Amino acid sequence: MALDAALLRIAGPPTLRLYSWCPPAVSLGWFQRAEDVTEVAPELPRIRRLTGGAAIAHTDEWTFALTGTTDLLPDADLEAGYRLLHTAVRRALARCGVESVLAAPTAPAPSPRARDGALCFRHPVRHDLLAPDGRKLCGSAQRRVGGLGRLLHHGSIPRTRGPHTDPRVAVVADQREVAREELDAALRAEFASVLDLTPVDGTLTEHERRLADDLIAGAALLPPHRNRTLIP
Amino acid sequence: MRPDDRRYLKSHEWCKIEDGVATIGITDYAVANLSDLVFLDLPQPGTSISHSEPFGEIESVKAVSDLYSPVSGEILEANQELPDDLDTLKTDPWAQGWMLKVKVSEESGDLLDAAAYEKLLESEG
Repeated sequence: MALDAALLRIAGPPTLRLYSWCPPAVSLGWFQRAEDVTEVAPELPRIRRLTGGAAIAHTDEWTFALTGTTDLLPDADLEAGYRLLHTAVRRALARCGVESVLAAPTAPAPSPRARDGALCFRHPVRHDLLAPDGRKLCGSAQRRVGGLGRLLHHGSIPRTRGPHTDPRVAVVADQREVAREELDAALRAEFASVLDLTPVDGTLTEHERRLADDLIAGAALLPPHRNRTLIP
Repeated sequence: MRPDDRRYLKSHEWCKIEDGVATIGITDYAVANLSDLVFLDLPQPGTSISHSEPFGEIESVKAVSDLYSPVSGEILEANQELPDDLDTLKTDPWAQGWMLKVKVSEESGDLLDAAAYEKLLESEG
């Protein structure tokens, strides 16, 4: 996730990163306090992510990070952006035979207090992506810098159910076993489609890797106001 | 029309400068775009901030966004009640929803008057 932060800072071309986790870890939302999420997979290491929202236990999942300028999205409105990006994910899942629906616009948002100690997947909000049974199938959060000029959008799609999977979380394997490469390809195609871009495979540059290392070494990924016991 | 007694940054912060002290907040457009606000982090009085650099962060249900300063200077006061009552930003972003009071040493060169800010919003759709 330090690489995602580097891609956000470097004003490069729109980039979709697809990755998985080894070892598994819990990422905390930018403003979350470690002591508020002790019940979320306590045996897993904690990291801090640059995006907001609540904790996510990243085990066997597809993780994606979209970085670019906010004018990537045809509508400057934050919620419209979520709707568009989740439409891409919904279509990608559908290509793989997995059903999902966008939460209704009237779905309630959690209160500020409910966020503390909460797992991201426990609180579907409007435009979230849900499995047909109503459980959340994709956790997501954004960071915007430069006013509303550049964005980082994180997404997490659980693949299989494991010992750290909360029962309130939907996983893709509830419906169908999907190979990692199959959904990777579908996400690539559908993000390109909704953003009206032609995808080109790329690799991380030396500059991007070095900046990620510098961000970690300089503790730039630690929020200034919260405890500093976490490593990014 | 937004208030014309203050100036604006493209990143949707406003500042009203009186007797060398800038009161800083964010516009109704920023508040509406961010939608459900859940957290605000403001710096402490006594610290120095620089124009066009982040001075704080605000989180809505779906995004964390940096807050940018229209001026450089020393923070005289931060609105201590605001982080615990973010609805104030919705009901009164121009007065009770102020965030910082700053003793100004330098203004950003990118400040817009109300008319120019309105045009910017029109272009953002």
